[in-house]
This record gives sequence, C-alpha cells and structure tokens, in this order.
Amino acid sequence: MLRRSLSAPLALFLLTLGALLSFARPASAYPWMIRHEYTTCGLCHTDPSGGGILTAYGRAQSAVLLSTQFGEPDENPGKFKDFLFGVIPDNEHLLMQGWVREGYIANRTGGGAFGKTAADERFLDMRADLAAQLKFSRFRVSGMVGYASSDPSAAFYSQQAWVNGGTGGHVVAREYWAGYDNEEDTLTIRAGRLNQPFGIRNVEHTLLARSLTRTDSNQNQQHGVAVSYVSETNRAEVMAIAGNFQLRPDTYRERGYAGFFEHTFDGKYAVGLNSKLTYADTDSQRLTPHTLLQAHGVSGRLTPVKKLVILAEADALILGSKDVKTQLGGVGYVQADVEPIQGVHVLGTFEAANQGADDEKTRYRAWGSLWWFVVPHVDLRGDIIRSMQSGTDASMTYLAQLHIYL
Amino acid sequence: MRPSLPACLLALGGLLAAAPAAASPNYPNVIASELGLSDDKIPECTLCHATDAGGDGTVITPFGKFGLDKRNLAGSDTDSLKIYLKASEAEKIDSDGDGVIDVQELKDGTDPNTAPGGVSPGSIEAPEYGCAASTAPRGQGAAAGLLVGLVLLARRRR
Repeated sequence: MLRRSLSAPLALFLLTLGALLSFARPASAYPWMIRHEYTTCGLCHTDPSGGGILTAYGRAQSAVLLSTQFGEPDENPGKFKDFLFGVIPDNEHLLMQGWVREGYIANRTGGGAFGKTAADERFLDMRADLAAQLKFSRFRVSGMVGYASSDPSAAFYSQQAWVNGGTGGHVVAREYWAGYDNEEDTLTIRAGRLNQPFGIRNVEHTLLARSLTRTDSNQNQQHGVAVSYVSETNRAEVMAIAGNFQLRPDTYRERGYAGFFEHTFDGKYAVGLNSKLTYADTDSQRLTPHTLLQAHGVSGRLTPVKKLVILAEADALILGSKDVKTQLGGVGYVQADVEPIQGVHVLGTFEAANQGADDEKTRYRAWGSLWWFVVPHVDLRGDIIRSMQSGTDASMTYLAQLHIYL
Repeated sequence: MRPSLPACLLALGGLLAAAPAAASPNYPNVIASELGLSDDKIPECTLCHATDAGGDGTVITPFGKFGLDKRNLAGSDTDSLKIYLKASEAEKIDSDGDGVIDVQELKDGTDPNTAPGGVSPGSIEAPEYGCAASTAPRGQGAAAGLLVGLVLLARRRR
C-alpha cells in the first residue's frame, strides 16, 4: 500500500529533478517571521533550526502570511501553494520542494555616490535545487540536490557543496541527512550533511557575519551529528562537526562543534547565544597550518510592532594557527525589516567586520533592499549595497533577483 | 632563384617550432600599470602560476584560479585581466581571508594567496571540491533521473 502510494509521486519527483538538472541558494529561512509570533522554525520547516523544505503547515502560512493578498484575504489557500502548484497531491510521508533563483548583478568601483567605474555586469544563476523528505513514524530521511552552472557566481558560492569537481557545471548536494524525532517532538537527532547551527539563518547568505564565521547556508554545510531541542520559549541545537567530505584532501577538513541557544520573551523578542570552534590541519582558505577558528556571540530578533522586525548579530572572531600570533576580531550587523503592506518588505542592513589582523582596516557594508512576495511561490528582490574599507575606494553593487519555489 | 621544396619544408618547420606556447609575460606589468604599483611591487608570475615560467594549465593559486574559473580571466588577453582586477576590487575579494582584499595586497606588495603564516600554494596539494575525482559530463544526472522516473511510471501503469 505504501509502495503504491509513493511510486507515482516519486516518479514525478525524479522527472522534475531531471528537468531541473537539465537546465542548468540555499534553504530560504525567514527569521523575521517572528512578527507573526513564529519564534521557532520546526513548525514550518523540516530543518528544526529553519530553512529547507516547507512542511504542509509552512506552505499554508507562506500563502496566507507571506504573499501579498490581492482582493479579500483567503484563509484557505487551496492546492496552488503545494508542490508543483498542486499537481502533486499531499502525501503524509513525502514532502518535496524545488527552488530556482536567477539574478542580475552590476558592480561599480571607484568611489562616488553610485560608483564611478563599471567593474562587471552579468546574469546570475543563483540556485536550482530540488529536495525531498521521507517520513516513517518518528524517522525521517531528507536530501537536496541541485545544479550550479559554469556561471562564475554559481561556482564561487557553491563549490564547498560540489558533487563533481573540475570545470564547467556542477551537481550540488548541500544537505542530506537521516533523523529521528522523539514522541513529544521536542528533540530531533540528525546525522548527515547539515546546516551549521550558528547565528541567524539569513537569506542574505553573503553577509560578512555568515562568510567570516563560515556559516553561509549556500555551501558551508558540514557532515556531522546534530541534536536540536525546542519548547514554547526556547530552542537550541548543537552539532558535532566531522568535516566536509566533499572537500579533499583531509588536511583541509574542519572539525569541531557549532551550536546556539535562543530564548523568547513575550513572543516578540528573542535573544540568542552562538558558539563555534573548528580545527583544521591546513586551513583551506588561508593555507595556514594547524588552524583553530572560533566564533562566539549573541543575536537578537525583535518585533516591537508587527510591521517592524529588527535582527542583530555580533560575534567575536578568534583565529589561531601555528607560529602565528592569535588574532582577535569581530563581525556584526543590524537589519531592520519594515513590511508596510503584506508581502512588501523594505530592509536596511548595516554590517561591520574586522578579523584583527595587523594593519587590517575595518570593512563596512550598507544595504538598501526591497523585497516583494508577489504570489505564493514567487518573490522579487532588489538590493543596493555599498562596500567601504578605509584605504580603498567604495564600491557599489546593484542586484536584482527572481525567486521561484515549487 | 626559386626556393627548393626541402628549404620550404625546413622554413615551415622552423616557423612551427618557433610558435610560442600561450603565455602572458606582460601580465605583471599590466597589473602594475592598472594599480599604479612601484617597480619594487611588480608581482611575479607565481602570483597565479606554479612557477615564473607561467604557461597554460599552470595556474594554481587562489587568486589566479578565481580569475580563471570564476571571472573569465584568460591568458594573452590583457583586457580580461583589467576587468578581473576591477571586479576583484569592486567585490572586495579576499582570496586568503586575511582581512586585506586582493587588490590592496597587490598595492601593498604582499601575497593575496596566503595569509600571514600560511604556506605557499605551490608547496602543498591544492584543495579539491567534489566527491568524485573527475568531472561528470553535463546532463548525465538529468538523464539518469529522467530514465528512472519513466521506468517507475511505466511500472505503475501495469
């Protein structure tokens, strides 16, 4: 009975997978959902710390709360919100989701208000992923597979998750894991390739707080085992990191732990503690031997009024390697998200980072963003980003994105 | 006097032998010119290549590979180098993650490929990404997925 009910959806899933891979970002997590008093993530997402496949409830809330309502609000969104716009019927054992994100970027350098010199301009293949979760009783198995084209940005922001090496296009596998939930649904243990539990899981994966702590959900997943806990006012997850086995040789693999704890007050204010420590025989980016990377910090999600959410994170960065003086630095950001009408978000973000190296100048970035969830499955976004560092000309980035999730 | 066939063949062979392998010996000077570097800060070819001899297929450093693989940098194409330098500065690319962007490191005369205390890219096996040792042909996974899907659908109809 189970096999029969699954074979058709599975077949169509594989066909869709084939179609997506023929053509051609990471889990979308929206921490500002706290404005609707969703302080924990597992109700809407299969990943207990956010991102990844939406549950049936998550899809319903996405249609009701996320997208602009044209006409009378519809509390019963119907099948359009479902996988492949309802072509695949709901199945209690199988959840599926796909994502396609395309963009256009223009970088200008040379200072000035808008950048004096065009540096480069191109279309971006940002993401093409398909994911599925099978659930039987308390056990779950989940996997995500995608394609990163030879587009320069696609390669740069996905290489840690490549399945095949070399040049040209790459199959990408960001997450895959097996998990078990306890009967009360308060504890989940997972093993596989997982998002690292650290900091606020932003959609803006290029934030300095994500890249310098190496917790970019586009590619910085690690293999390991994680245990998560959730209650009405607390959520936490700790992961033992075994290394990224899609990176060779072993000397470059980082091993250690990552974890966070967050407590919610009044359903509107959440404060978190984050900690991460990893060791690698050779650091894959810095090429320094016996390298210990640490990041420890605090984060906050505040929604004093429903139309406004403030996200903030500040992390101390400690970098030590053999024969080199230990560096102590920091990274942080503040983001304000205003939603004047449902589905339309106006965001302002300010970041700062300094890793503590000798003669290093602090980097600053300021973002102005407009994000519109047009209808279920579709959102549009525009960002203007100014990057500044003393001693170098300011540069400007203009970015437009179209995101479709299936 | 008409040239003899052996002489022509010898001349042709000489021309072919003299044809240079693709090389960009002027790239260090182009970098110096674009970034306004003083003579003592002109980079060596090992900024990108395994040795100062340069040559096709010898780009091994993070700075060089990023340009080659991800920013359309090409040998014997100085325009591509100029575009890469501008893009690198605009995006504040920091190949070795030491907090100083690559273009600034070139201006300072330091190595953008290695953080302080790091080893030279040429002295260590480079990181490789992917589970397999070779590149899979494009569309292979797609074809497999489509085939399995069709088989399952056909079985269900029976």
